[in-house]
Amino acid sequence: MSNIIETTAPIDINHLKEYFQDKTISFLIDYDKSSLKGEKLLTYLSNLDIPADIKFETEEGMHECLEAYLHSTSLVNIHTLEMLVISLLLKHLSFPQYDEILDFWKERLDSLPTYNLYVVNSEYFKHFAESHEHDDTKSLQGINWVSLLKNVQFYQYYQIADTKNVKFFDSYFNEYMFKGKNLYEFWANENNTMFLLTWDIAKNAKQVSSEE
Amino acid sequence: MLNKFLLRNKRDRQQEYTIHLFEFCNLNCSFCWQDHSNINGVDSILEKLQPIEEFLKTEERQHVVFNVMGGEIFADAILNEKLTQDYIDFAEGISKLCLQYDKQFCINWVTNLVFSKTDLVDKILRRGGFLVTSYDPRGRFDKKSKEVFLKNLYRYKDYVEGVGIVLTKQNSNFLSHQVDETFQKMYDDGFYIYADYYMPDENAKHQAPTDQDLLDFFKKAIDVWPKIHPIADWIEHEENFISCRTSKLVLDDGTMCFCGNLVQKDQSMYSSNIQPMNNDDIENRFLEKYDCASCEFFKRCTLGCFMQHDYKWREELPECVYKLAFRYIDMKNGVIARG
Repeated sequence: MSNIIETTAPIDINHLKEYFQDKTISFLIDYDKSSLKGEKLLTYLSNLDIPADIKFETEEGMHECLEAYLHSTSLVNIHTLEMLVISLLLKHLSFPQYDEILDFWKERLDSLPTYNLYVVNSEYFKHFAESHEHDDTKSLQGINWVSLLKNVQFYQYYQIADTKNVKFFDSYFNEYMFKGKNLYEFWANENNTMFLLTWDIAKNAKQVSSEE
Repeated sequence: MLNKFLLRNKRDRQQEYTIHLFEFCNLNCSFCWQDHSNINGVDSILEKLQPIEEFLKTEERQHVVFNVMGGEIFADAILNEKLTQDYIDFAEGISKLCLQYDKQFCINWVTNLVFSKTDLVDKILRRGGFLVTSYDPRGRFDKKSKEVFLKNLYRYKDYVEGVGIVLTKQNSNFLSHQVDETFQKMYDDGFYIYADYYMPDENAKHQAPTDQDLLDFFKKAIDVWPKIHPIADWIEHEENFISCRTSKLVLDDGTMCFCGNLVQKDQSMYSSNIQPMNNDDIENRFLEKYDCASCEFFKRCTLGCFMQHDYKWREELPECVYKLAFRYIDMKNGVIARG
């Protein structure tokens, strides 16, 4: 049973104490009433590392926070923002002012099917993945594209993704650069049918070859 | 309370125990709080195993680093066969206690390297452990003691785990603005050098660095000595532990405490009510003052010495000195700031 505390940011220390005693608690931040806004708020929630979501009472507040989120270098888990971005990616929503930064996200997301092959235990697929154009960016800007990967709704995106827009991101694919975790920890999850399918095929292929 | 949240993933997985066997020392460093002529404890080394066991009984961490120090443990005036054997027995005692309490451990013998009885030191090192030493361009050596230090530094190079440099006003200013060939040689020769924060004592009025002193040193290190710690960690890692290891101390008289105990006699120079074995107040004061919770560099930051930042007469810049150092690093790397 989870308890949600509706509050503002910065969060009152007494509410934080409640969370410290009861880890089922999560926070719902009223954006418009909070004194921390935009990137500051996202950084704050990332630093505190507590379960939190954000609610918006005004469109102005939502856009301010969404823009900060799309550019942010702070990795956060904010369900409302994740759903907003997924809606933009699936073209259920359209805000042209974010097209440029969304293209930046898409460049990373479109390359993940290649990453999916890269992590299969096969030299052939590994070479295939590495044969793409390399990009060794270490920038954390727009880092929350990895936060989308836990959501089952996101994977519809690959029905419309640009398969030519593919790169091999050396650092993203190999380094522990997401709050000390590597990409695999975000990619390998039960909502990712692409991963599950590939994993199952690879496992069966291994069994067949060992039986032969 | 804020520290319970913000620092819960930023504390070193290893626990540091600093064991002051006695205060007697052959040097008289200007920034040291100890009584260098006091030989109390020299003849009762093994008695320190008792407070160590008290700490171990409630130790939550799996790995303990023992920094065993004086005063100067290898000072010529006191080191003899008996004391050498006491050190070996002491290390053996630590080993047995760690086995009993299921802890991994390592022992660092903390020395100023100004000694000549190398045969006895060799005998101790043959039984295990490493050396940790300090270098300070100001307030430590005279010409002769510096020569001995350097000779031993290279003699024991393979044993030297680290060379600390205390960021007093004098040291940081000297390194920022003067040429120090000895320091440069140590750096070039690959010694693990770490900048240690100065803890204010009764000489703080003269020795406490200002924020500007620290920033000048940080910038010089970023430009010229990027492998010095913690600067190297700031440059290379996205996430770092805090510098303060909340070291557990055993003093020469057996007192068990944190470093806060060292100022219990004169607290007037501090803003908080410093506790002997509880850092909550000074940690929270730091986190609130610098608004670490919404700082974009928090994960990379190692923070500072909480005691030093609690010093009442610290000369500060309008912004956090560590934040300014991170901005300098990012500016050099061409990272565009947002927010």
